[in-house]
Amino acid sequence: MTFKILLYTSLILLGAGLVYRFQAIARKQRFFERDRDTLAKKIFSINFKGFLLNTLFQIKLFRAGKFRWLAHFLVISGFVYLVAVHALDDVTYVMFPEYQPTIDPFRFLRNLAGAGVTLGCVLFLVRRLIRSRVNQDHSVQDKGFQFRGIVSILLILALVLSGFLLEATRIMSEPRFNEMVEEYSDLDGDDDLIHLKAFWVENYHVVFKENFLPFTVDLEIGETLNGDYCLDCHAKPDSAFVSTPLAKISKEMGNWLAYVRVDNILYWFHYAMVLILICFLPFSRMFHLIAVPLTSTRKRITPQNLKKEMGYLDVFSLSACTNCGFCSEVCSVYPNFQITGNPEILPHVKIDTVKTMAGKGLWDAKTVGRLRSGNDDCTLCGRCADICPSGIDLVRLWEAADNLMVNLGCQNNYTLAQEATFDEWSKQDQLPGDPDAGSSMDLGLSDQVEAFEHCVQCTICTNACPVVAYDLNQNDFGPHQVMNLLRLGKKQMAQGSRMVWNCLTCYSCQEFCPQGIRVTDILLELRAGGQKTTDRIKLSKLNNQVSDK
Amino acid sequence: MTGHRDINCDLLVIGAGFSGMVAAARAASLGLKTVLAGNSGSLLFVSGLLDYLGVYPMDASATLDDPARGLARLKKDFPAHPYAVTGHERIIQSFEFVKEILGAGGLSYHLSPQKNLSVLTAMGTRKPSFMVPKTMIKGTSLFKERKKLLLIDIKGLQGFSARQVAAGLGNHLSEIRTLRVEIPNIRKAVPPIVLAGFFEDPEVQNAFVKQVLPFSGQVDIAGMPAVCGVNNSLGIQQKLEEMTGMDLFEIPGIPPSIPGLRMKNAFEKKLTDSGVRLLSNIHIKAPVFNGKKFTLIGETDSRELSIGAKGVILATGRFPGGGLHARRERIVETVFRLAVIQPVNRSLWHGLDFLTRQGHLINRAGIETDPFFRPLDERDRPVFQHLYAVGSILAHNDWTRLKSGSGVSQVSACAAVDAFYQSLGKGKP
Repeated sequence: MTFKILLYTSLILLGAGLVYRFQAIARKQRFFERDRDTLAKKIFSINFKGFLLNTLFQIKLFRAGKFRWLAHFLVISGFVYLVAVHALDDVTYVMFPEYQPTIDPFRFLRNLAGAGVTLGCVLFLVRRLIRSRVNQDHSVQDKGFQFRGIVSILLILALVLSGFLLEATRIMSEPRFNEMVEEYSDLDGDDDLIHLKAFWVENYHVVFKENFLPFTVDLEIGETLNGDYCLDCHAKPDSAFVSTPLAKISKEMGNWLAYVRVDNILYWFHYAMVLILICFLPFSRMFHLIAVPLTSTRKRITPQNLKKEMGYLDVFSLSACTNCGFCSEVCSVYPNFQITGNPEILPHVKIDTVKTMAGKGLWDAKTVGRLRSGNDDCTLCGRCADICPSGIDLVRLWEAADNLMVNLGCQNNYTLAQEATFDEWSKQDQLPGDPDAGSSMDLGLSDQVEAFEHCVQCTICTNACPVVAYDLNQNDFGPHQVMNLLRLGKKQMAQGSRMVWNCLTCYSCQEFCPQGIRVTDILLELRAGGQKTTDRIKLSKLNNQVSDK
Repeated sequence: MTGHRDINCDLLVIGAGFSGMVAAARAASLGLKTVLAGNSGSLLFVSGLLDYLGVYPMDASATLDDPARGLARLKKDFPAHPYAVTGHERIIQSFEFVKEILGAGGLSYHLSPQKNLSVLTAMGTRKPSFMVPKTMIKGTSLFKERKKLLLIDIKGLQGFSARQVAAGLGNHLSEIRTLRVEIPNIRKAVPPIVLAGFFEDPEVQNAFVKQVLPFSGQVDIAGMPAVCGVNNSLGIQQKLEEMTGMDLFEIPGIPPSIPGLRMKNAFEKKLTDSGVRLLSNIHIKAPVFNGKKFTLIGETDSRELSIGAKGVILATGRFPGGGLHARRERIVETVFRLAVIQPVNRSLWHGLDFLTRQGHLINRAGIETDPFFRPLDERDRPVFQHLYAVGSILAHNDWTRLKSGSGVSQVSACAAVDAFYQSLGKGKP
């Protein structure tokens, strides 16, 4: 009865939690356009194939990383088996009429599933300790991401391990044996019981207080009794390849364990873990069990549906993010992060900040500035969205975040850089450097004379440049003039030029350059370096506003 | 170095300038598996005119009319000159080959039957050339027929002035008029390649025609800068001729050169179509020869490729192309460290008179080869059996003064590839 009450309470909590999450999400699904934001009510095109493949086989995760897919698949498949056959046996026995947890193959399968989940969880934990490319460079902010979601893993691990211990202690528990005898046989108090006990000591690893001397017992009688009363439900436990060895190892402590009734304690613990997991599901990392399949139904943004869906902030996808970091490993502006040290360039950090912004809102001017710069660096190349194992359409998200920030009055760095005067620009250079802007690359191309000294000012780069061709009258310098500014030692001026900020990074200039100068790389680097200056200009403006008030 | 190779080929051509392109095209036409590595951007420095021999002897006061006659004297005076090895017939064949290749790439050239053509330049001077783009051909008969000429320039296009050309021409023609055409939306300067792109736009063509039309009937022919589109230049020119009702020709100008860009595109199209692998923006280094094959490293900004090749053609050019490098005391070859024929010390590199017609000794420095264009070591033996050097890197070849740049490049490229083909035992090409 207590069990039932607790279970139903947890289920109600789970339901309420899910309703709360979904409602909170639905309230925030918005369209962010340049001039307005509207509540999104439209239902977008649905991708059934992607949904099925990604839910059943986690196909996107498989493409992204085989190791993590393996760990993930072990946990998921094992857990599904345990929930369906073991936890819900009251419901699913219809499908498996011969089900008993203590006969084969179920005993073996339960151990197998449990072992799979354990192994998967251990792999998860090990991966968190191995330093990847992303968290190597990302020392400060990384701790939070490295150990995020670890509670869920530990809970699952505790659940499965307590299950194994429970099985092991039950195998050797004398009180449990006596209870069963009382309930299912008429041998209680009978002299023959001793033969059955001896048989069980021998074959079922039960630990009894008394010792059975070989000449006082007859194992054959024990076997017959076993066949009469027990065998229907109790196969020999050796197929439980985890629990039985555990039982054998702790044989010496058997009497004490039985005295304390550890099996009952573990039973409660195991059950408590189940209830905690149920209650926590909507609020922990485990929510991605629901969010990822649903996110996978969304079609990616394409040129066809771009107009209709641009600026749509899909908060649901936001909650499907597990901060796994695959996106940051393939991010094409990762080098910008190496230059500026701005973590908001990295998709897996950025998405977190966007999540906060869409939820609680961002109140820290510095973080807003960083997010702005980070998002401005993004070229919307789509590599993050291609690899995302949760199937989140990140490109759409960055686009929406951009509009959201404009609505909040946070201009993008491109506009700022174009509007800032050279005076404003070069004033920032004289300020002492930002101490917490980490930089892992001290000398860039634009600091190395060898990188641009071979420029002969032939103007081929400027000729090849589509930006120059697009708007002949707006662009201040051509790429060759930016190279000349570098030759003159005017790096700061070069950083502020429109060419640097308008560059599409199409690499035409670099392809064409007869002198083999890495023109595009230099432009890109100048822009990344210039982000710092725009941040400073922005901050000084914000501070001025504050002091005006 | 017997390990993994990223690319394996019969012939690796290092350098994607004019001679490298010709060599790769020749190799592909013979069915060799070819890789072309280098930076083809340098083709934007070439005029698009293909010369045979414009001046001989060097201090002659007039240009050559018949290059074959100049060649006969050149052979006698400089037996080591690349032309002396190949002879007239192979030079003509190489012109025909290049014409065919560029034609297949969509760019039509006119090959003069024997005489040099006289091409009007952006300076108003006349330059002798042997094979010119069809868009320029009508300008080569200006002087014989003393036509009435209209010179057109375009507002915003720097480095080309109709009045300057007219001033250069003096009174060689019966009448010269000039016109500055304004293209809509160009307020300040326009880079030439961008302008050439604009000319593919019918609206720009209409604006051009509208301003030129008033002169129709008053002049016989009109010359304009070489900006008639990047793609399909001949088609666009014919369309403009039809619309204006007058003959048009293009005048080659300073770099970046659109005829050069067209040539680059035509070569690249033809080479890609015939299966040549192009490795652009790559730096080739660390050559190793194991007795049978060369292995070289191709370095890009982000990775290194290992390339295996049976034969290598060095078409790396001179100082601007990076094939030769002038150190303080010596000139060195940059990829294979080959012996460079050069004056014994730096003070002899240049004479005292900078503009001397005779040229300077450094202009004739370069790689000495055997008759198959294989570089020679100090004892005059080929360094490797299957290493060839072609194009401007060759010694005894002051092509800027002799107006023979593309001729030497293409004939040496063809001859070297043919020699390689034969040495593989595949018979005569």
